[in-house]
Amino acid sequence: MKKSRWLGLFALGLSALVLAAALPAAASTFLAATPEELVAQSDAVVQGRVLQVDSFWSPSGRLIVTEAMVQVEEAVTGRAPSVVVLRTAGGTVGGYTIQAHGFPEFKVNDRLLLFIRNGEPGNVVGYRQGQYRIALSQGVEMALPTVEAGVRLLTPDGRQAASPQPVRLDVLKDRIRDAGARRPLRRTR
Amino acid sequence: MSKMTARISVLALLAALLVGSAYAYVLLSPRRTWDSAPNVIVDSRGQSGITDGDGGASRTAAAITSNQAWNGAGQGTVINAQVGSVAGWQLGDGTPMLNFTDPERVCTGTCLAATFTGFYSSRPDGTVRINDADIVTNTGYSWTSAGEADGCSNEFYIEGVMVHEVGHLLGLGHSNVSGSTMYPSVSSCNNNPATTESDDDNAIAALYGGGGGPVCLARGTSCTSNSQCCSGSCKGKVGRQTCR
Repeated sequence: MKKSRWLGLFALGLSALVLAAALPAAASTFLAATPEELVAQSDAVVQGRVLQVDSFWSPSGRLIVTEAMVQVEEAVTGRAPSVVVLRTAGGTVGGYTIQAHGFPEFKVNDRLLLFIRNGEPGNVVGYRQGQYRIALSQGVEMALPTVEAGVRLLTPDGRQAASPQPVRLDVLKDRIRDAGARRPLRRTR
Repeated sequence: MSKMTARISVLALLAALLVGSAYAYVLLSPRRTWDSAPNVIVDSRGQSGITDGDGGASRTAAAITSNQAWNGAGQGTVINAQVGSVAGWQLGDGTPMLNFTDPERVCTGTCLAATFTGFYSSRPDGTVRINDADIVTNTGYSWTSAGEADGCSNEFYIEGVMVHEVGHLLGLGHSNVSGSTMYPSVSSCNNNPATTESDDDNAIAALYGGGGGPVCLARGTSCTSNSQCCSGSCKGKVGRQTCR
């Protein structure tokens, strides 16, 4: 086998190892959605950096929620303001943590690709299927799914769906742009 | 590095990854347990669309406490359940509830059911004590139970889904053992997840038993992967990592 192929295998294995180490365990049950389906449900798909994260009890007092302020570097498709605020379930307040299994999580300085619904606050469409972490691998920007490799994804008819895999960021963005061009995004409310 | 050495290294790495991926159950990180068997209140309103007399409430309570599920894992009673009112559904109140609706509207769209776990700071060994855990359900999907007279047609069995979700409530993650309750997929009209398998039992033993599975490593102990640590965190330079 050529040297280049061995190096490629090694890089693949190393990437999978890094990926496996980085993903937290997840639970809950979700239906699978392709990037194209997520585009159709979104107001925009954005690439951005997390500036700030705040957690607090919801107005009802029943659940801790977290809001992340994301600086938009690029609206891959659709329209979004230069800074978006996205809300997700779960977080830590006063030493008490509520973990919402399978819901998006945010850390300051994370670079992310997000399928979003605009609003005050907005939200990530498709839960972790709509959230990719951007990381550099051998000089190439990769979009790493935040869905755990073994997360429970079902097709609408109940069959098992393939879990999202790491993909070159530029390839994923091209796919998203194509989907956005073929199928108009939702009108912003 | 010679060509042979490089090839062996790559093969070894791939083999290690394959072995790692064949590892069975997974526990949620950080590792977490209840101090005593929680008593889950199952929504007495039932799930609309399930025509078994009470919307699947009784069957759900029976399924999650059955000896065919978590209480039959060899560690005694690890879960209790009763049908009751979930009007006071709230995270952090110490009363685990299984709600057949979604009061905060957080499980929508592609979400079928969601489990939330609440806990304070860690125990000395790095594990956390679960204070509360609640489950919500997306009513936008079609549900059925084993008690329906008209059988199943493109519906999800409430018993199977909820036994799985209660596994998460107890502290389990997903398993890669096909057929186990905690395997991350289920098909419509398949209620097999309502019955736990040996891999599920091993997971419960690891959390709540004394000798059924690997013991987690306390803080400061040498480690090679996150899953070995009670805290779920193994950090440091390769070869000198410790549980945090």
